[in-house]
Amino acid sequence: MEAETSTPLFTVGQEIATFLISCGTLSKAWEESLLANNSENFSVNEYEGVAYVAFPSFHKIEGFMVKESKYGEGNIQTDNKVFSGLLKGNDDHPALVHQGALKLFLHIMENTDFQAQMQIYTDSKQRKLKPIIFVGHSLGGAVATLATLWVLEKRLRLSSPFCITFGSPLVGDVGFVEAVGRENWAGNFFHVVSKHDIVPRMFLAPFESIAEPLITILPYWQGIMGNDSKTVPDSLIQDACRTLLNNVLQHTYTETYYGPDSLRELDGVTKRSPYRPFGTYMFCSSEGASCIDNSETVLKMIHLTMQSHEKPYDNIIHDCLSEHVGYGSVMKHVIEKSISGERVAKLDSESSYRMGMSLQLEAIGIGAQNDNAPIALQIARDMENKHNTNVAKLASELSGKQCSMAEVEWYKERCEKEDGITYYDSFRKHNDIDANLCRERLCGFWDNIIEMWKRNELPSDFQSQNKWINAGTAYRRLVEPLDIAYYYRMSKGTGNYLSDGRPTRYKVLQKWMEEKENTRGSRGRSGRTKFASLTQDSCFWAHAEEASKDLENLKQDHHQKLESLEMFEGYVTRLINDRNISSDVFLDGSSFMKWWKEWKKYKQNQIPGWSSPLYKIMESESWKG
Amino acid sequence: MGESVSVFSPSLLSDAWELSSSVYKSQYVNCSYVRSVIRSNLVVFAFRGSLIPNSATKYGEYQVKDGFLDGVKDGNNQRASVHQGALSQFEDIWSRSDFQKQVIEDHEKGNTIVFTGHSMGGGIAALATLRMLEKQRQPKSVFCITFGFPLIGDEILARGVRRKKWADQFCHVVLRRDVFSRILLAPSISVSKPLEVLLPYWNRSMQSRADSVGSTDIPMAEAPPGGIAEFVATVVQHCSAVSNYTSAAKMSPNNPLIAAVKPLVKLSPYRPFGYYLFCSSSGAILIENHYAVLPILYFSLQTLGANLEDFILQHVNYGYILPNSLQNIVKLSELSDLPLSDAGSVHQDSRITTQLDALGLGIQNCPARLALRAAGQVLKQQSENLSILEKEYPKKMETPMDKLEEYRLQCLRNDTGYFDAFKKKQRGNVDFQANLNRLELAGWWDEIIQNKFDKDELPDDFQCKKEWVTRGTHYRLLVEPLDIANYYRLGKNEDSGPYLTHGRPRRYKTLQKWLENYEEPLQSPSTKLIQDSCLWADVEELACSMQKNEYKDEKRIDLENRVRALTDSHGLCVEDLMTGESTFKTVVNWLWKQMTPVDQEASALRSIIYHPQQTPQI
Repeated sequence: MEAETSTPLFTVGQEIATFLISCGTLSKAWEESLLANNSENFSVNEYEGVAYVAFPSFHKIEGFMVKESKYGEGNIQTDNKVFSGLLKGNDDHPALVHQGALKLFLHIMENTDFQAQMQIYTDSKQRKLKPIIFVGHSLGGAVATLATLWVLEKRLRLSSPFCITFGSPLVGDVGFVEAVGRENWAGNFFHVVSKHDIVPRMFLAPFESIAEPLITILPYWQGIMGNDSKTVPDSLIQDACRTLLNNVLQHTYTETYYGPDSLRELDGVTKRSPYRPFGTYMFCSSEGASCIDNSETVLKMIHLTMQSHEKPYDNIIHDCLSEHVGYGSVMKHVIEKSISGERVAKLDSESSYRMGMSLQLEAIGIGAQNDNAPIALQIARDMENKHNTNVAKLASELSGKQCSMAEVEWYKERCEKEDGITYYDSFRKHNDIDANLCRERLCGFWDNIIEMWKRNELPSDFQSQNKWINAGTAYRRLVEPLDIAYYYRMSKGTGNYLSDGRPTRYKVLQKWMEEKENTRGSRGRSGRTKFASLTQDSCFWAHAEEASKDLENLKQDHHQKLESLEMFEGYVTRLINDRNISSDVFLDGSSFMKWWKEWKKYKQNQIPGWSSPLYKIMESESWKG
Repeated sequence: MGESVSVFSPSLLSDAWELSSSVYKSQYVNCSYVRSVIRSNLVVFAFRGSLIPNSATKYGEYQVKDGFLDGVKDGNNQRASVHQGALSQFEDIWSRSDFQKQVIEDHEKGNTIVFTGHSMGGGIAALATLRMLEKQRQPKSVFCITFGFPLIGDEILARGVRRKKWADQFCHVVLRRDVFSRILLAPSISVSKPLEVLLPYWNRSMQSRADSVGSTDIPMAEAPPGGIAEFVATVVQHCSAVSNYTSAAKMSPNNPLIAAVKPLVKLSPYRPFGYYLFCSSSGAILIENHYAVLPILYFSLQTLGANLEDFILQHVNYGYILPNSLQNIVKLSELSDLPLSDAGSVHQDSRITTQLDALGLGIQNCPARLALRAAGQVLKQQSENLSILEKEYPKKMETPMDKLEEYRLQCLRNDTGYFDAFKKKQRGNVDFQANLNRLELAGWWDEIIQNKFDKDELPDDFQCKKEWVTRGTHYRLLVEPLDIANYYRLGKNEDSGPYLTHGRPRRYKTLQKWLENYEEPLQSPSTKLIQDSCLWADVEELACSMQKNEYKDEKRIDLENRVRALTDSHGLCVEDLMTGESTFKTVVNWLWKQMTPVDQEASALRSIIYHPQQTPQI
């Protein structure tokens, strides 16, 4: 079947936003986060079969105050191992998280009955767990994000939790975004941001530039959230807000116009805010609401939506203060719009996508006059298109490559049945043109995938998709032995495949599989009773080659080799005991059997009556049964 | 405008309305239906119903039990759900022998039957129609016309109706602002209070109008109750939720957010089935594309510029508005390129433009236009995908199938069954080629089933198309034994578990289901294959037991049951099982030794053991 390009014809941002607001879930979540302000740490309520775990707004300066770093960021992994090493960027650096939010969350984990209460919702023995939504407003939203991540990352439930935040500040860095993308968790985070709410933009500015005004403003917000009294902000608060807005806008501007790539180059000159959005963002304005899920586009929109010129500055300051605590009325307004069907501008286009995009921008309060916004949306769309098209193309190529795989399999069987030797040893001795052609074809295919992956041309969760992990593992186990054989044939025994010769594709594929297996946990895999059809460690033959070399050296009195040879013996014993080895290695005359005979002879010469676990296995030929 | 309009002609629609409204007459207060012979061979039944408050489920839905709608289960054998109030009223009427007898008699006489009803009466009419469609004798002889019909069936029912090609037998007439026709999209509790006032009001209005038919004094219209703004807003809001959800899911089928939100939100389960005629005072639009119905139900109900009372009045004003709107029916078929701008509208039939405007779906309602385009795009894509498959099949699939057929025969000539030959793979290149053919076919069917069928990217009735059920079945019966052979040859049962529970590819499960749900007999293929593609899996499991020497009665009985079922249905191909030193032969011989004479006497394997020595038929 031919690969298709899967260009989306429609935008769905507005439909999703209207759906989520109309169905009542968001209003309920907002209600819960208001209620949570009556409790100190968190509250749990069930409504229509869904558990809402809500955190209060934490409108106290202590929560925001982090002095260790410029933007309050720090390593997500702490001594108590609440979060594991899984949360890291594609460069393996641990993710950075706002330490104020992290401290609040760790406090709740350690000093409250939060974990105990969560047990009812995470008991994996229960077949049908209630759906769970973590909810929070302001810094409470950041805490809700971490709570959700904790449940996801510990795989406490089969069905994923959901997270809804209102006016939450950004909480994690690019490593966070990459980890969430890799695990395909982005769909589980939903952030509601009102057009003029200052808080979601706040951490783009260094802490020192927001601390002072924040000290003045927080009590005001706290008052409103606490008892719902609508006090009018006095001039002191308004002035503080003006300072805050000025400082924040300055930084969102740099973030937006210098882009994430130039960020790294400029490092050291001015250190920029590390925070990046992840998940879906719903931007609300007086014109409606729409959703965006591409991290870079969201970052731009965070700036562009705020930087509107249609209102006098003083009004914006007022909105900054009121919208952060007014999500109830913001959403009510969007509902009213969708009920009445009121529309303003008339657009002139016959393209569904262009039209959808214009409507989207209008809904989030960015007029058509802004050029940057459509470009940002377009870039996000192009990227998604490219990812989808690439994967569709690779998937179709993959099924074509099945034939090459089958040919190698057949080569393997032919060697065993007709010549009585392993395909490894056969290929080691002399080139088989057909098998080599297949090897090269498959090598090209997988090298290309790895290259595309490195260039970010594949979806962020590509490396954790079962389909590709399984295909990659099958390829690695079947074909890497040929690459090893080729390497030792060409290098005439001088090189070491493991340290110098192993192609990147195998290293990467193995890493993907191992990471996936870590997340799968030890789901009661019963031991094998038969030998695996392919040796599970695709590097087995390289180890065997090195062992043969070591043994030769040992015989020439390089005694330091003894240790690595004993290690190899132990390694083979484990493989055999777990049946993780393929029975072809025991064929008479295989490289492994030759090594074994030599090794046995050597050991018995050294220690008469020598025995070892492997010796017992080999002597009894228990691998035959 | 095709067959549909010839059946649902304006005159039939008015007749149906007349009868539907006459049910409200005081004289019929104790009858729940009236029957009328409109012309020879055409009998109309009209029902009266009421919306019975029900709080057992959020939307009053109820999963139907055995005996009704048995043929419309989904892929997991889930039964359809319908509105319980409608169902219980229908069952009351249906269980009365006079009604059932009358309907069946009319039907058996060869009459065309039309069930009709206004309001909840339409719900009863729809259920009566579904009931009769299940036993419909002549094709297209039972029809349904409703007025102000509230959606009463879920997605499973709606899909079933489309799969069985019944959609063109339903015509739901809906006035633009008739709020009642959308009422079940809102949770029962959210509208129960205002309905306490509104339902009696609607009933009184219909009754006084029905009673005044033919009399000279026109009744004073009673003004609708006040305080309805919030009620209307509630209904529109829930319409919006359902419509936007389905639109988003169509526009972005793999959206992770939508998938994550789905279990959290309990939307109304009801989905439209059948054709819709959306009416305004200036005309009507006929919609056949079911994906377009929900968006129209929502967008045409939006309140901008509307008189609030209209939302209540229109439910009882069909009699006033229909005469005008039925004069001017247009059909909206091609939705995927519906104009979005003035420039685009130039090329559109001006009658359609007018009618869309009258329903509030003009170009200024851009979100509505986009939703309709998306609805059109889905159907367009589905039929394009199908024609690609039709074109590819002979090119790509027939050769490997032919080669595997030939492989099977070759094996028999060499005195082995193809299962054992493939498993032992002693003939090198020949087996290798067979394996390539197997892989090629697997890739192709996986693509069809996982990437097209499961994602709703093929027409709804794809799985009921005779040629595809035949192709799928032939493929499954011929090739699945090779998959099983491969599975056990590579010892995958050791890694994952038995083939049937842990290793059976979804393509086979799905294809088997297609056959099970297919009601007509299939053409028998040229070669006779074992008609149960999983037989070898049982055999292999027993072979494993044999190696470990663990005899278990249950496993033996499983195999016997399979064999018995096959023998009874003449679906056994003995030469595939018994030729040469087959696994089957070995296993059966081993079993035979373990069995007691009593077991042996009753065993389904007996006939095979004592089967005259097979010579391969070539």
